[in-house]
Amino acid sequence: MATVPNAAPNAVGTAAAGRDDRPAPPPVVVRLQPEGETRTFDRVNTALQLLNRLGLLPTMALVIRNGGLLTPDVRIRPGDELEVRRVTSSG
Amino acid sequence: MKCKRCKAPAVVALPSHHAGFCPDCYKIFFARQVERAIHGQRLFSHEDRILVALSGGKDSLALMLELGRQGYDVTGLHVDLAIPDSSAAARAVVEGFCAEHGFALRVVELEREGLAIPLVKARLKRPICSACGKIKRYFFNKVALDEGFTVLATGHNLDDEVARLFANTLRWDRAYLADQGPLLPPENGFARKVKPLYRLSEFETANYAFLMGIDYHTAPCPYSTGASFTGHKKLWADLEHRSPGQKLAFYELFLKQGREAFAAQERRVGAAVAPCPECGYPTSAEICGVCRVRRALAGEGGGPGVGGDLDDRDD
Ligand code: SF4
Ligand SMILES: [Zn+2]
Ligand SMILES: [Zn+2]
Repeated sequence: MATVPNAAPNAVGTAAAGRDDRPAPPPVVVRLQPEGETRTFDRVNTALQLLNRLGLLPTMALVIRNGGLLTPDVRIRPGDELEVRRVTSSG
Repeated sequence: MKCKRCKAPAVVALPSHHAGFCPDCYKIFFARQVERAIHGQRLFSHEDRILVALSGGKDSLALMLELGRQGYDVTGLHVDLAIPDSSAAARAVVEGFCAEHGFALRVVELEREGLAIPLVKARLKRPICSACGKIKRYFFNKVALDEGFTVLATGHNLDDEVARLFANTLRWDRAYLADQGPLLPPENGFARKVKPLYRLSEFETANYAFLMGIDYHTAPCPYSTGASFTGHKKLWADLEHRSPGQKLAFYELFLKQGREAFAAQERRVGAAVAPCPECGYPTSAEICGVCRVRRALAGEGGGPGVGGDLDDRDD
């Protein structure tokens, strides 16, 4: 990833939210291919939700985390670094 | 989600097949779809010498790799278009891929042929893509025929084929509808042409390429206008999302129930094909499209009309 995540790398996303002094969970960092553009998202729960926010249907892109493919139902965690690779070639 | 075959965690979900697959089972699924296309449509056999057109994109490389894994006699063919900031990278991907997998490769350099695409583009008044496509097809056919390959294979996938069929249908283009399909028999001096990935969507070939570790070329051509079929692909993506499996059904049913009607009429009234008097390439026009491009480059006559030949019959 070319960008520096703006949250501390050791920040662990805890499920127990609700205490005001806790730091916000780190955002999900998404690299879009083939553009190479990076975007960040807060509160994305699943790969499907991420694709929806990007305006993509599940069969329009691969979602990759740690070198592996994710199906749409897979849960996304705060601080995840993902790649979304659109599959439509231009001819 | 679990793998349909072995219940391991799935990595690919395919609504059109009501299934999810783990990496190993996905490769089996993909191989079976290709086998089904080859056998179901009688595309070729293990006796054939197959020339595979390699652009460097995911589809052509996935096709080459899978045919090689299935034990077919395959040789790659890459046409180097000589487009700055683009062609060298695509060629390097193809050369690296063939070296890695031990595939034989032929490269046609348009620069050497005097047909570098930027040169052609500068001389033509019409959009370059039609001439570029024509020149590529010309060399695919020519290398296949000159070097005794019995089959010419391209990486067209289901989305390519459906977008094209849909466009032909919107125009009710009889000549194109008469022979659109995964198999064009060897006739009129053309090599037999096959599209073994026709049952697999773009998403499916992308997943295969990823799981097989294929490093493919993704940078768009600088002359690309955003591809004429892209709008139709979007429309079909929505249709497919609403009723998974419709894309494949539309195409398969055309092959089964639609095409012959157009083919029968085309046999009665279609244009005749004869060898080009300048290069011998089969054409339905007076001289072939590539010779017309060459004439235009040499400054004879106006911009070539590069439409209408039967050698347009495949993209
Ligand atoms: S986009 Fe047009 S010019 Fe570029 S490679 Fe494709 S057909 Fe040729
Ligand atoms: Zn499995
Ligand atoms: Zn000619």
